[in-house]
Amino acid sequence: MRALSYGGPNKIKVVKKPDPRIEHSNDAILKVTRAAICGSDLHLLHGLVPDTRVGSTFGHEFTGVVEETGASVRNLRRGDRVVVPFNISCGICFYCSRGLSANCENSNPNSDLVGGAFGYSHLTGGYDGGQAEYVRVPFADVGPMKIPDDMDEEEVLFLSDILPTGYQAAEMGEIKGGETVVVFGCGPVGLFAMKSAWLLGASRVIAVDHVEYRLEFARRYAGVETVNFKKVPEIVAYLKDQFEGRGPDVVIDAVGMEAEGSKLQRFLGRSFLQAGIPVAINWAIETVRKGGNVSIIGVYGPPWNLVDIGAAMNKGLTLRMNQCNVRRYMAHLLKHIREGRIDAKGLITHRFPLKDAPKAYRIFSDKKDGCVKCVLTPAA
Amino acid sequence: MSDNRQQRKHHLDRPVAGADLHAEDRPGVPMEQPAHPLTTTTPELVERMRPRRGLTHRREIGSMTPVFGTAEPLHGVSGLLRRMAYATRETRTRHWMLLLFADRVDVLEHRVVKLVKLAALVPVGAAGLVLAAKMLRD
Repeated sequence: MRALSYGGPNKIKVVKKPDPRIEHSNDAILKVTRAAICGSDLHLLHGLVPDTRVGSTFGHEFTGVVEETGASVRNLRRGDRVVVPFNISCGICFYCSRGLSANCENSNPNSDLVGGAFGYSHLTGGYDGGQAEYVRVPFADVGPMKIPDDMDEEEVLFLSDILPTGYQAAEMGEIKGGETVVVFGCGPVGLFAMKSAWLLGASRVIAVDHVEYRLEFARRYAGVETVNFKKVPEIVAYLKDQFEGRGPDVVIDAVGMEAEGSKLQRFLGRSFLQAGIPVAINWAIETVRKGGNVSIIGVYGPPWNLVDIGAAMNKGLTLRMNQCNVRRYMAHLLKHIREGRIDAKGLITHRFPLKDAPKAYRIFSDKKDGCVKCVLTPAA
Repeated sequence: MSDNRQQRKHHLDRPVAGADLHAEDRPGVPMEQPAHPLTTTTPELVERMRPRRGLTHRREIGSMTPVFGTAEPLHGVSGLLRRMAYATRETRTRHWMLLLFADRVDVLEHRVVKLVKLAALVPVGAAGLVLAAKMLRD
């Protein structure tokens, strides 16, 4: 089959690889129909995630058609169209049974930090991802959700990751109705976090970024107020001033480990003196009002970061974070898509055949051509 | 800042606002739920995969998890470094530094292999050229 292959920092190409095969009785093999490129794939591309091995195939947001199933698979049959959560979860361990499917303890032999995930280094279990013609899906009875007959792949593709992730980010902010919310980052997860903040009852949502076309997209797509942090003298003071000098009730970090905004933090992050660049977390802690909630959904890697935990403690903040437990949100968010409250497909700005994956990564990484979300079409 | 009032009104007037206001409409609340399996299917789910060569597991567990990825088995010097890393607890800095270093060594190894393959083609190419030149002369 043809598949994307990592060749070192900023080097990827599409190569021939052996087809995946059933390796466990609850595996399924999918023919991939759509595979999105996620902002967190860029952390892999840029060589920031430990144990990203040359030859790995990325891709944790995908839909596909079932080609083959293992002997114990009951819920899927050949020909079923499915969307697959990025988490690989057994469904019955201590964590999965408590709803924390991102923390499954039966799918990742390499780290206690996170459960298994598709195409996200050996730190998450060493599974190949979906930016390929075929992919092996473990625990096929647990994760995949069948795509309703009247819906197409692109309508539900983002149930695999970014839509539930954005929703969980807002939910972790504990919006109970009437709260003010600031979202750092106008990437796809940030956009869905903004939408979700409205769903949960926020009274005011402000989005922060420095890429003008993305701010414009956020205004149009999520109906939020926006601010370009490079165009105000001091972003934290500016945001506090919007809320009577106190700051908002909730701040969501949808940026993660490659933030702009501090030369010192970028230097330390780029030279591996810390794991990425935690500017957005620090801004979130400084911006939110005392006693407020900070929700962190941007991806950060091990082992450490310079985070202003003293400010968080003294302000009495609640910090909530996790990888998204995708499965528990899928049915609920499918309903929102069906009923027109969320236009998930509306985020897609670019589509490419699999052979053009390197070009797609370049455009997405460089934020060129108004790119918000790239989707690959391996079966095309 | 864009037009605050207009943006707010635009969204609050739509049926989106507050659609999930009630706790029962929030799938992730509470985040940790009472224990309840996500699947009704069977203990075969945790049937163990057959062990493979060249795979790793963290030091804290005695063997591979029941299911694991088989994407890129260990090889070469980078493989040795990764073995050393996984023999160290992940609470230690050494574990992460070794993994990051192994990633760079892995890239270097692949480049060297590529160069060697290219170099091996040089004599073949040269022989071809000599042969072609000879045939043209004849």
